[in-house]
Amino acid sequence: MTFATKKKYCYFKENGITFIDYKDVKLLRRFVTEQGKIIPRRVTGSTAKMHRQLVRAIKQSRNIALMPFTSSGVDG
Amino acid sequence: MRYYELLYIVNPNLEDDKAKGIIDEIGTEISKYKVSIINHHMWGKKRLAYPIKNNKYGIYILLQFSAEQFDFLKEFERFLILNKSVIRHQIVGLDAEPVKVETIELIAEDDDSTDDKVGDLPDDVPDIDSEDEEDLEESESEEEIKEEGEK
Repeated sequence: MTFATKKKYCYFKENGITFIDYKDVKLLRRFVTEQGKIIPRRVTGSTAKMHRQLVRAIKQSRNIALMPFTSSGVDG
Repeated sequence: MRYYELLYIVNPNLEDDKAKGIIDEIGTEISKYKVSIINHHMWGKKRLAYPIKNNKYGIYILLQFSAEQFDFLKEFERFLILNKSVIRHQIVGLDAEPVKVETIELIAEDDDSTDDKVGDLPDDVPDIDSEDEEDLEESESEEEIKEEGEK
């Protein structure tokens, strides 16, 4: 069986983003699941360089309660 | 010369005057050291992603400054920890000089309704399971057809 491979593009490269700010929650939300988990690079197609920056930004954002560590339904 | 950014959360139960008092307090504390403040303004009351010290909300205040040396940061962070009104803080080093903001726009308190929006996901980020699920559905339908043919 053959899979129709969909080409993945780095979101940051496409949009010319070179610096990811941890305060930009609207952007970071795109790269976490509903539970608040970071989506892997193999799924998002980000470059390694930008993914490292992204992960760092998400973690900083979590630390200052702009983003959740986990959010599972009712009290998350 | 290096640029730093401090984002701290102040107890939301404080009145506006007291919250402004804390801005002044921290402003005077940091000006004891050899720093120049670039921005120091309030973001406004925001809902926290998770409760901190039983607070569901918090007043976010952003302080951007530049400093020649960084050895005072340890002392300054200690001051922030001891300050009971500050419930959380984070100091981050900046690569580039921050832009000086003249007009302060208060960030509107985000509603829960906007939080649950699923439409924010970009098209180019597929779900992990989407491909597999499609295949399953296809194979199931094929099987059904086969069964029907046999009958």
